[in-house]
Amino acid sequence: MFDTFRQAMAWVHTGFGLMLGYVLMVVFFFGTLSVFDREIDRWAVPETRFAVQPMPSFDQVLAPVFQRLRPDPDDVERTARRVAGELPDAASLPLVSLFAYTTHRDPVLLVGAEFGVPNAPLDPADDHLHVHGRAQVDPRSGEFLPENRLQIGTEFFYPMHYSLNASPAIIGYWVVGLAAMSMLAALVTGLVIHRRLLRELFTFRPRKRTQRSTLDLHNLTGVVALPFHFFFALTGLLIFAAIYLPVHDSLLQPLDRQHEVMEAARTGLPHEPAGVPAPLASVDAMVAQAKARWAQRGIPGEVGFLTIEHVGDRNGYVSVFRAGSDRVALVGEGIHFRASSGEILHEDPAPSAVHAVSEFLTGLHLQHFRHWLLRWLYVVGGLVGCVCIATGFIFFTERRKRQWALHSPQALRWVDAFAVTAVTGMVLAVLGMLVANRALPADLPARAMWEERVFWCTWLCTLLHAYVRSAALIRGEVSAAWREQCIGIAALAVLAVALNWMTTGDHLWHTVTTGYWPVAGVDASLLTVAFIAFTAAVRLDGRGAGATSTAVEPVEVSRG
Amino acid sequence: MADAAWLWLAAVGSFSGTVWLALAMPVHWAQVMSAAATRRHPALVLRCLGWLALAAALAACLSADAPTMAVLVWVMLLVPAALLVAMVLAWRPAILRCWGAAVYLRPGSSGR
Amino acid sequence: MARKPLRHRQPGALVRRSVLAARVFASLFGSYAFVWGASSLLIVAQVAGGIAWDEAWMVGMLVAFPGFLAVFLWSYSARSVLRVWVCLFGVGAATTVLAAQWQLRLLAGV
Repeated sequence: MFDTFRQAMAWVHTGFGLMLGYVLMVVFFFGTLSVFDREIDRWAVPETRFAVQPMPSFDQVLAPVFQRLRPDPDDVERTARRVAGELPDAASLPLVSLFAYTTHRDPVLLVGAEFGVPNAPLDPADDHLHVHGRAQVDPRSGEFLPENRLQIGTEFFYPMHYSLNASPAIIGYWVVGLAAMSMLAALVTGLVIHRRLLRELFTFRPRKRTQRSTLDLHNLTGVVALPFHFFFALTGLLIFAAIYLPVHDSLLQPLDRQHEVMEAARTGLPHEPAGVPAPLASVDAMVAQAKARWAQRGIPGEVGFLTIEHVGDRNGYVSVFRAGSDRVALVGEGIHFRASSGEILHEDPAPSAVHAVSEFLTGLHLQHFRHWLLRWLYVVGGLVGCVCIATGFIFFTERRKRQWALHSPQALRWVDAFAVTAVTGMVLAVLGMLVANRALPADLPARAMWEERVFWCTWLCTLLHAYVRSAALIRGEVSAAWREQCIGIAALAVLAVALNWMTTGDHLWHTVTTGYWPVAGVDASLLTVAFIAFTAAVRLDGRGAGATSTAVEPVEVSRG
Repeated sequence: MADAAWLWLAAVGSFSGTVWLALAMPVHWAQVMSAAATRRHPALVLRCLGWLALAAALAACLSADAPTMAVLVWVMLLVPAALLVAMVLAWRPAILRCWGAAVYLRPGSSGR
Repeated sequence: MARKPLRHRQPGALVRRSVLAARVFASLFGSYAFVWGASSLLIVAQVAGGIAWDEAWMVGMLVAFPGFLAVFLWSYSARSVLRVWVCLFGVGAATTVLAAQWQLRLLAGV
């Protein structure tokens, strides 16, 4: 079928690249934004613009918070469909486990809990039946933050990057998983079909035909950031390994369950509640003891994650995990205490070699570390990935442009419209959402939903705009949509910065001089984007029909 | 603060290293250097210099961070370094001339 | 490289397309079946060898994804589509059954 190995690899590269390239573009772009997800949260939720807080006192602050925490109504509704009989009043459901989570970049604290359900499940295999509740808390006061605020960074951009915010999310996970696998395949096949890998490592010829320079840029960005691309796609898959390859939950479930029980016996952490009520000892004392233990072991640190299992039961235990801000690997060094007495039940041993490797791999993707240079380098890597994917597309269409203009102009226009939508349209959708976030009234009901609607609508509009304004393609020119959307980006970015100033008073000069970097960084990045987009628009304007008509000359692809 | 200085050094080292590795390729040497210099292309020296600078950058990273973090920073620094080199070569290759001239600074080769 | 494709027209476009579709199908689902069985078997074999379950599972996952990539690419470079199907689905099914059987014996032995 394929004459040569290289030909087969080229087919895989082009086929899967075209099929899943758009998804990859989304994943890379929103992954890049997620590097600074918490900073975007601060920008989008002005109520949370205060200094980063450590884990607050459990006894003083968090215990009353968990007494006030209620199950999520949506989850109650979902669970009601899975059980026999009527669910009791949601407010009366008992709290069975809880967690509190913060990082070195969080002023707010995320708390969550599982509430027990007395009803029998409809499906007998449906164990671990709980309803969940979660909330954002101001750790200084213990107050819940207003519920109609969308933390755009962590609650929209971040999940977009691994689930496309699809509903149900599992569809998004699988599409993104397939895209990540295609990325790995595209990288390997790209190396195979690239003829002058080393000789043209630093080659970029911007003055040559669009097709030539696009391919140069595609090769350059692909090769230069190859380790980054490969390991981020691979570790992304590994993080969701349990979803993509759920052998532990199906074929090998008996072994998994056996291990759970054996593990409970080995560590002394009870797997099941005893059914006997017991009071909770001082959690603050346990936290102090955990910190002392870490200091003894030469790894002093703050608490990042705190959980209590079997709350109020004799078998209850408290787990205190260390925040991993000083390392790549995501290790908690958990110390576990008996909830009723505060005695240490178990201390996590040092990870084995295999676990150390996997924690390093997942940790390098999830970036809990405190290293701002590395964070920015990840942004560079992510954007380079976007350029690599986009140039791949553009090269593909440039090659076929003239042929298509003759035979199927409609197809050409749609393909180009999709490319515009995937590049400038995506940026416009993000900016539209940020503008909506600042422009919508603060007390609007379902405000979060409106922000999301603005995002999707803006994106759809950019597609229509890109199609409508693409008539110039038939004449072998660049679609006007590129330039117009660049101007749109510049305008919206400046508007977002201005709205932030008007609604909160935090203008760039103020945030920079007071050193409030989360908001200063987002504002400065927005202005940078505006500048780049404006420059691009000016340059696209300068390139008349003459400059680009050369783009449709016959091909001389990268072959030696 | 000292960490920031090491990381700056690492950035400079990885950029210089990539420049020298690029100059070790005849095409880029010709692109950057004047006609007189292009007659002799000290490829081996440039290649050695390049790898030395990259090694120095790694050492600087290791001085700033724990080893696992340092390796990650080093690998990631190469991305903007190589991109920058490619862009400068495309638009303003003359900027890189002083890196090329550095080869002639070594003892013994000045009076050729 | 792709400049002499006319030779491919010989078997007839329909046949050619269905062969390609079969290959794409096998490259995705066959590779998945293969990796599913092989990684399960690898995990069970480690557990049988006395390695803790969570560690065995982790090794299985660390091997599974690069393994998928390898067999995925192989399914395009292999000469015969029939061989791709037999190897991927056959080995996948066989290793799955083997892993399940071995697991049963392990659980019975404890």
